[in-house]
Amino acid sequence: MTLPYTVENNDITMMIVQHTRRSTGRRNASTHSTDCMRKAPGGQNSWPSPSTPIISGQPFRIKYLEAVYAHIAQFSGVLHWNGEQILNWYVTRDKRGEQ
Amino acid sequence: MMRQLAKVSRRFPPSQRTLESRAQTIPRDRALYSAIVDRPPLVLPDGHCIVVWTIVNLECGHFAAVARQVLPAPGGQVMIPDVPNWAWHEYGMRVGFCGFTSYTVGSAFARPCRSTRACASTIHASPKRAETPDGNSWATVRTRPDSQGRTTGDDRAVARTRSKRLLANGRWDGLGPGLTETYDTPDYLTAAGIKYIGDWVYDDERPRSPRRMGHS
Repeated sequence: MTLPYTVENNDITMMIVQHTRRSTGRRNASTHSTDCMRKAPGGQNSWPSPSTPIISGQPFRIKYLEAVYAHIAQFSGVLHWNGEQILNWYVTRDKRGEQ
Repeated sequence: MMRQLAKVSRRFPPSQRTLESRAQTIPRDRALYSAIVDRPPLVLPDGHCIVVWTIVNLECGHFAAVARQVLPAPGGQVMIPDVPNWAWHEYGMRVGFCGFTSYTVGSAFARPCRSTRACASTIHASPKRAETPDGNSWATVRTRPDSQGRTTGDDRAVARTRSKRLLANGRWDGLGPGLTETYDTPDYLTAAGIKYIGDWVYDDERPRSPRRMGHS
C-alpha cells in the first residue's frame, strides 16, 4: 500500500532544495494543515509531516517545528499516528467492508 | 539474506522480469484511474477528522556519496571525500537529533505517533541514533540502505536493508520515499514483505500498492 508522503511539507525540498527562509517550513506546514482540516470531512484525512534532524533539528530551526505542532494542537479531532497505525486502520476497515 | 534473495528470484525469474518490465512501462498497468470524488470518504474512528503522520528522517552520510550537496564544490568539481557535505549531515545526527528528542518531552510530539525513517547504514554507523528514544512509540520506516539515489538492484537492496534490521533489533513494515524505483520495484518489495511505501504519491487517500500485471 502507499501512504501519502508529500513533498510540500518535506523540509529537504522546502528549505534545502529551494533555499528558502527558516520560517518557510512553519508557514507552509501551518497553512497546509489548516487546509487539510477544512477539507478533511470529504476528502484527505491524513497529513504527513516529514522532518530531518539535519535541517529542522538545527538549533536555529527547531522553534519553527515546535510552532507547527502548537498550531495543530489548536484543532480538535486530530489523531497522531505512525505509518503502521495508519496501515492497520486502513486494512481493518477494508476487511470490514466499511466505507 | 540469501534465502530472501532466492525467494525473490524464484518468484520473478529473469525471463518473467524482462517481460513485466516491458509491459509495465505504461502507468495504467500499475495504477487504475480513480478520481477521489467518485469514492466514498474515508471515516476515521471516534469522530476524528485528520491523522498527522510525523516522520523523523535519520540519514547517515558517506564521504563518497552524500545524499544532499548543500555546499557546492568550488568550480563545480565534486571532491571525494566530500568532507564539507558529510560534515553537515553528521552535525544533524549529533546535534539536530538531540533537538528533536528534547522537544518531544511534554509536547504533542511525545505521543506514540512518530515514524523514524532511517537508512540501514544509520543503524550500523550510529546505533544509538537508531534506537527508539522512548521504547515502542517510534515505528521504523526504512529507506534505501545507503540513502542514495542509485538503483543497484532492488532485490539486493531490499534484502540487504532487511538483513540489517536485525542489528537494530526491531521490526519494520514500511519503506520511505525516494527509492528511485525501477519498473519492477513494487513486485520486489511485495515479495520481500514490505507492507507500505512512501513512494507513488499520486492520491490523497491510500491506494493499494501499485499492482502487478493482471492483479488489482
